Amino acid sequence: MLAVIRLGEGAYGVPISREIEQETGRDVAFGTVYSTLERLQKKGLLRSNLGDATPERGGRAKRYFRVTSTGLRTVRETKQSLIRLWRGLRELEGGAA
Amino acid sequence: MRSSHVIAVWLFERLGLDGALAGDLLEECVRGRSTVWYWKQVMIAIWIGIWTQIFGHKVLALRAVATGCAVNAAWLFLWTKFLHLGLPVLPPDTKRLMIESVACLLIILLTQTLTGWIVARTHRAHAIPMVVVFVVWLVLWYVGGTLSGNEPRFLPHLAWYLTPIFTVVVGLLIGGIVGAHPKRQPSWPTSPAEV
Repeated sequence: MLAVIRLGEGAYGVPISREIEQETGRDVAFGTVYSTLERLQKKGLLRSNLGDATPERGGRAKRYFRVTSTGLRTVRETKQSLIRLWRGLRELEGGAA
Repeated sequence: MRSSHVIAVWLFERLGLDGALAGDLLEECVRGRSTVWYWKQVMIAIWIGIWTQIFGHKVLALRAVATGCAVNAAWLFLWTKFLHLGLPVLPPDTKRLMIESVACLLIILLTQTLTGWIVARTHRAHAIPMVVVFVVWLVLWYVGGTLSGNEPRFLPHLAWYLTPIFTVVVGLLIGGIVGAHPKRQPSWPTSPAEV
């Protein structure tokens, strides 16, 4: 969701996967990314549309993903929940192990 | 790479996977990813696609197992009634037994191809995943049944015991693939708001 929001208009499979890889430092499988995006789409948090087909993609169109208003609201609520959970955890404050 | 892509798209269409994913993978290859990376991604996508469809349609999966069992029960009935052939318990050591064994395996291959085709045709929306469910169930049942007995488990006896189930799996998968219609509609659909 955050990767889709960060990428804005150009959020399709390749940049989404790269964004996740760059930010997490982990390799991600495209199948996993698409499967997750499908689930988020079914929940109404994302929507998608097909772009133009290009020869370098073997005539396959790009599927662009965008976050819906429900998705944005859910992300904000999740962030607030995480902030509330994070507060008061003295063991995790100040960078000490 | 183009030939790999054609095969991958062919598989994706039969599994109802998003064509955009195939395009993304090819785009990455054009930018320097290897063929090994490409096929690893295709296999992961197919694996996830199959199991997502199975877990998303559990009742259908049960129906696929029931359909496959019913068809195989019919084959078993016809075999025992009309065909006086059987696979020997031990690997064949005479020419006659060898010919009989090959005939049995060919009949198994043919009947299981038909079973796979029937399961695929009766579950058109998720043909290959439903055939895979039946294959998994059959393999577990066969292996469990075989290994729980007092059968010899050392090679080459084990290899001989696994030959029929290997033939069954190949037959079912061939039948499933032949019976599955390519789907142009992706399983990751465009949201109604965008259509």
